[in-house]
Amino acid sequence: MDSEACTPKSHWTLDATDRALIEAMQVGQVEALQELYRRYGRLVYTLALRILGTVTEAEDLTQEIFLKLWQQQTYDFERGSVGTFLTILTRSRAIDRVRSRKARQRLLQRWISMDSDRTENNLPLERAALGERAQQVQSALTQLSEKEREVLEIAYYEGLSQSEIAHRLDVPLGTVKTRARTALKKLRTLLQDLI
Amino acid sequence: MAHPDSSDKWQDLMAGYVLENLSDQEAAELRQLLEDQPELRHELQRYEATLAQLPQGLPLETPAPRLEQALLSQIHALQADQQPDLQSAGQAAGQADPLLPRPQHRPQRNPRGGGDPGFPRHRLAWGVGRAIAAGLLLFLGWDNYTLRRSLTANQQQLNNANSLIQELRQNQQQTAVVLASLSRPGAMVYPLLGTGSLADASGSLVTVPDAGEAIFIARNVPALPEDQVYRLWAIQDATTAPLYCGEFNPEADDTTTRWVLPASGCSTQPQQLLITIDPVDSPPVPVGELVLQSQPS
Repeated sequence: MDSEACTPKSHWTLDATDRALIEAMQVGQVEALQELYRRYGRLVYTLALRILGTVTEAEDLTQEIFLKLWQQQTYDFERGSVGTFLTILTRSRAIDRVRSRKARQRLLQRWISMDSDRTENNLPLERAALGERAQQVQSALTQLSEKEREVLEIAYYEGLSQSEIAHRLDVPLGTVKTRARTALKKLRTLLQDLI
Repeated sequence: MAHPDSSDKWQDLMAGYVLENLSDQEAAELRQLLEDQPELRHELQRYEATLAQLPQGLPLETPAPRLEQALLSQIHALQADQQPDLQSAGQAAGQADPLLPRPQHRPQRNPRGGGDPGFPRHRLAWGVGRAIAAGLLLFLGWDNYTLRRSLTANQQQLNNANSLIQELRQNQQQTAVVLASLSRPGAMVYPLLGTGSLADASGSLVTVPDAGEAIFIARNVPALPEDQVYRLWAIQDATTAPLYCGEFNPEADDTTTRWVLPASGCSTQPQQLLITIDPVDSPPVPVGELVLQSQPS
């Protein structure tokens, strides 16, 4: 076991590794979860907001994700970084919610402006930690063609099937598949230092 | 089955797997590939991780600070809930041990029958009593534990129900806004029917002249790519050109959109309202496909 896991919480510093925080959380230290929330809360919230479209639902899902992290404690370091784990979990739950929402055929939605509850970014340390990664991803995305990015983003953020995307964009199914795969392969190459 | 041994081929299969767009044959090829070369599973994980980087490209939003407080409160509540459980169960188990009849205290049967003359009957009864008490304590501890767990599960259901109520309240508020708009002087509702490539679409357009705004409640009106937009046009009479009345691009199929009307003529009982799909950067004249229209008056 990583020796940091046994470190008393009073010895934590802002640069504690994610692994140390996860292990401390797994022995019941709430402050470790709080630090993880401060590192990844905005990423989870941003993704939830992008998919669900309303502040209320995004907040609710963000809370659910971190509660799951606390309660289930199923995170496995071998499966990737904490950020990746939280991102995959958030996307999956958000897409489930969108599908369930569609199934209920809600009459009206996304009415209230998404700006109402936004607050200013006031966590410079966290931003600095994630900023470099974000910059690399943003730069990589600009190297995709517009059509490749469009297909990838629809598939990722809206969870539409390839045939639904083909229908929406009015292009052949094969084209959608090829564009999406090409886009992901390019990103894999461009982001190999991050993964 | 052909072995997908070229790097480009297996990378294509992995990308397709992560994007959930493999055909059955491709899925079988990938399965075979991973059986033959299990080390490639790491590469598959890297593809999953690559896709998971996409949100890093989004401009970061910051949740309200109360969210962190709400999360911590909920976790503290869960902890408070669980600690008594563990204590009860632990105490029950801990206290039970000394009370349990130990093997060396068990009455030894006289091989010739009858009780052990060195083990008085009242001690036997006392031992049995202690065993029953210990069993009872264990049972109560477990019962308490399961009750607590059930309570926590119910609390979770209650939280879910509260979320649903909140969602419904939000819908109610939204409906109230539409109804309030309808009660404004001169407000009109125009049913719109889909045509052309959006034959299955429909919608209702509310115009509110004194606020100079329009509300469009869409049904099966898909979001458009970024380079396209829905545009609303008002036909005043057969002799004048369609009047540009604003544009929108819904985020989902069944979305309500509100915008400010650019001209008062849009809300003064036009003969007909039309919605087209136009390039986002085209001038305000209808050049794209007609997709929704109201009945001509």
